[in-house]
Amino acid sequence: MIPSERTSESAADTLAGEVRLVVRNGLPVRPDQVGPRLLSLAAVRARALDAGDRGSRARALEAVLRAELDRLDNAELAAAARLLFGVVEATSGAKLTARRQAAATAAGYEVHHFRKRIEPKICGLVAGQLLRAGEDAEAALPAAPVLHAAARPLVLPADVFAWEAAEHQSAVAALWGAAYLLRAELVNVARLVSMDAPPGEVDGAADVALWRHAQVLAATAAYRACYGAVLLHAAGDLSPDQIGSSAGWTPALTPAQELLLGGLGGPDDGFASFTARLAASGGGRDLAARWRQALTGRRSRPDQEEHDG
Amino acid sequence: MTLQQLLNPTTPPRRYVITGGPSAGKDAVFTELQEMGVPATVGEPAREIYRAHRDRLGRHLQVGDRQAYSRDVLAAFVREFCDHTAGLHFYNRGIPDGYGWDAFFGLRPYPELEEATRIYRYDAVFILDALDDFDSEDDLVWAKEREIRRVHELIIQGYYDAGYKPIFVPADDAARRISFILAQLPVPAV
Repeated sequence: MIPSERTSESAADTLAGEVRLVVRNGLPVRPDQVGPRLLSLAAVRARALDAGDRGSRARALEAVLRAELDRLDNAELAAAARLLFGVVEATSGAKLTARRQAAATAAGYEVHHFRKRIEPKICGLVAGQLLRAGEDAEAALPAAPVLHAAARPLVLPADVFAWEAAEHQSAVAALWGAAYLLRAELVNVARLVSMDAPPGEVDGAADVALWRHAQVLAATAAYRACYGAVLLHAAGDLSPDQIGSSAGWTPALTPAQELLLGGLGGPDDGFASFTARLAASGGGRDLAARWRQALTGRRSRPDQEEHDG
Repeated sequence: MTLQQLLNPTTPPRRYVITGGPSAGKDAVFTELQEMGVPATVGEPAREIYRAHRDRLGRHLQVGDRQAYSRDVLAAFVREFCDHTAGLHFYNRGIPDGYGWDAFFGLRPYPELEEATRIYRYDAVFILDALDDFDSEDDLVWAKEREIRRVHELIIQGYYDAGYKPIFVPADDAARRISFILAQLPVPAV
């Protein structure tokens, strides 16, 4: 057995153990009586109104559990599983012995055999289904979008949720797109510095990087205005600024400088327009000179400073 | 039980929600219901309210705009609920869809939504499972594979949070889904 298979099996076993505990305690799921793995499942975190609150996650777990029991893959044991967990009226609120008896009868087993052999199987099935639901939820978390070739155009349904989801994806894509363009220029600057390229070429690349950085700041500000300071649907409290930061190291800027750049980084403004508007704004030339110096490790060429000044 | 018995307009009001994420096939189900003469929501009021908000703002909704939109949609849902006074009616989304909307944007449910959820109760909630083509290879475009799946899950969670036990309607053609839904309905008390 390869190590990853062993780890995955062990995780499923642990989860099945925690599912057995839920069976024993019955529903509703109580925050103080539920295992940590169940509460940290991606499907649970994704559904919890407040992922940092144990009570909220316990409520989300119960909903996920009910939904997965409603669509349990194993048709033969599905009815027994619902009786065992008490999610159907017949056993809702009943003690474990009564739930188990009803489940054993429904599945056609003697109750002791059911407890020893079938019940663990049901818990394993439910645990597996919860894990798969978790994987689906993980896939729903935003990351740099992975693109695929498509054989037909994307047609969204006429639905407000779809429109909003598309708007959000659009904002996220704009942000990642700006970050990747900045990344390309930062790498370009590093290469030119490493090659000891002529100063004019290095400074020119640094200026393009500054323009791309301004576009990142503009896309970040646009995201914040529409969705707030935290990326929607991220596993943790990931901020839109962190997407921009993932492009690579950039020189520190003051909040005023960031505001200035963000205002000049509109997606429709070209490099020449950006450079001209930056030079015309108060502090713009100094900002550009300091950026070049910090990014390239060189002082700006005298002719460039003269040109700027 | 025949369709005519189900449709008996002289019974007390019976209100059923049909909901689900985008791409769940809701439009096809409602079109089919209307062709069968089953009373059901025409169109989706939330769409027109959304368009009106965008037109008024002249831009995409921002953080501060969303709860105003949500409140307008809630008012429309409540009106639609109260307007129905006898017989059966299927609603294209229901009041607790607001929980899914708020959760999608990381907003907490607001008091009016919670109060409306408590006061205006539907008799049953049907959630359309995502259609098979939801995951088809051609649809591996992120707007569908990530966000819309998440919306679907949040809508389901909203109904659980509101105290409903939704009935999941398997992916199928619209006519079969309606047969499935109608088979779950109790004989109306006259």
